Amino acid sequence: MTTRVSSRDWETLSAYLDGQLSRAERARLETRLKSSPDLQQALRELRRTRAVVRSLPKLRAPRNYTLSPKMAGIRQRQPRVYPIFRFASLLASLLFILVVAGDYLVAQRFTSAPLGAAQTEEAPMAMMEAAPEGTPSGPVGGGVVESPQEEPAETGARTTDQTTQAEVESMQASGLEAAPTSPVESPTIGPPSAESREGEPLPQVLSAEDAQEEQVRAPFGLRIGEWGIFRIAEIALALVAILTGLIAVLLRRGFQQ
Amino acid sequence: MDETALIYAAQKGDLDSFNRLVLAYQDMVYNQAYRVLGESAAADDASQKAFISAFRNLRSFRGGSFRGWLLRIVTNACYDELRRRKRQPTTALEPLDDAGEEIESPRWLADPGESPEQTAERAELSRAIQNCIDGLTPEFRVVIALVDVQGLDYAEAAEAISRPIGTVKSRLARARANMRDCLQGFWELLPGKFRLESEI
Repeated sequence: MTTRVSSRDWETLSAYLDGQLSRAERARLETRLKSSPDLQQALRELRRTRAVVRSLPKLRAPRNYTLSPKMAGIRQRQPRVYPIFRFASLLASLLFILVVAGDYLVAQRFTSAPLGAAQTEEAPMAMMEAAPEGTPSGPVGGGVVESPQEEPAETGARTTDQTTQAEVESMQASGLEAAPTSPVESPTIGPPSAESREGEPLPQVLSAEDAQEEQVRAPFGLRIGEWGIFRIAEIALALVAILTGLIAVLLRRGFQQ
Repeated sequence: MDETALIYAAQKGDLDSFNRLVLAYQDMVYNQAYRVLGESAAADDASQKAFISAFRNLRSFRGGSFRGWLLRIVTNACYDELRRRKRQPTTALEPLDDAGEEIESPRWLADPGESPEQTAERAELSRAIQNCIDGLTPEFRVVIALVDVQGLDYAEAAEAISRPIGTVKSRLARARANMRDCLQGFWELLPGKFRLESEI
C-alpha cells in the first residue's frame, strides 16, 4: 500500500527520520502523525526504504589506490652528476662525428696524392736517364762504385732528395698531406752500385729517404706509428661517448626506480 | 601519526603520508563511486582519479571534514564520468547464460559462507537496490549515497556537493520516495526485519 502525502511532508518525514528537524518542527510533526494514518504509513515506508538502502553491503576497494610519484606528478630531482655525464656524452658524440668527417675528408684528398706522386716520379726517371750522360764517371747500370758517396750516387741521392723535396713542397703548397713515397723504389733510380746489384738498397739513400718520410709526415703530425691520429681520436671519443652515455642512462634509471 | 598530521605532511608533499590516508579512505571512496556509477570498472577509474586529484589539490583543503572533502572530489570524478558517458554512450556487459538470457546472480557474486539460496537472495536484493539507485538522477544518486550509504549528516553532505543543506534535504526526500516506488516490486525479497506489520 502506498500512501499519498505531499512532497513537503515527505521532506519533513525524511528529515525527521534523520534527526535533522528542529525541536519545534519535530513536535509539530509528531502531533500530526498521531492524527494521520497516511503520515504514519508514509513514515513506515520511508523508514523501511532507508533501512533497505542502508543494508547495502560495504564494498571493498578492488585494489589499493596509493599513488606513485609519477601518478602524483612529482618530478624527482636528478643526481647532480647526471647532467655532467649527459653533456659529456653529447660533446664526445659531436666531436666523434667531427673527427670522422675530418678523417674522411683527409682520406679523400690522400687518394689524389699517389697520382701526383706517380707523375713526379716520371720526371726524376727522365732526369736520371739524362744525368749519367753528363757525368764523367757514371757508367749507367754498370761500374762498381767503391764508395756510395761518389758522384753518381751523390747525384742519384741528390736527385732523389730533390724529387722528394719537390713533392713535399708541391704538397705543402697545395695543402695536402704528404703521400707515402716509395723509398724502396728510389734507389733504382740512381746508378746501380755493388749493393744495389745484389738487391740491397743503399744505406745512405735509405736513411735520407727515411728522413724525408719523417719530414713529410712530421709537419702534419697525422701519423703515430701504424695508427693514424684520427683513428686514435675516433676510438677514444667513441669510448667516452658510450661510457658517459651509459652512465647517464643508468643514473637516470636508478633514480626513477 | 593522526589524520591531521598526515594531512599536514601530505600538504607539504609527503607522498607516503598521503598514501596512508589513501589506504584509510579507499573503501569509502570506492563505495561512493560504485553507488553513483553502478559499475565496478568505472568506479575503479573514478576512485583512482579522485585520489590523484586529491593529492594535487591538497593545498586547497583548509581543514574541516577530510572525509567530506574526499567525497566531494570523488563525486566530481563521478560527474565527469557520467558526462563522458553521455557524450560516448556504451552498452554494459551483462552476464548471459547459454540461452542468451541475463544471469541475475552470477557465480562470482557468491559468498562461500551462505547457502546457495541465501546467496542468490542477497545478490538479487543488492542488485535490485542498486538498479533502483541507478534509476535515480545523478543528483539524487549522489545524495542518497552520501547520506544513506556513507552515513554523512546533512551538513557534511551539503559540503560534499557544495550546495545548501536545504538542497540536500529536498533531494534526499525525493530520492527516497523514488526508491520506495522502485522497490515496490522487490519487497518479497526482503528479510523479515524489513517487512512492515501490514505485510507479515
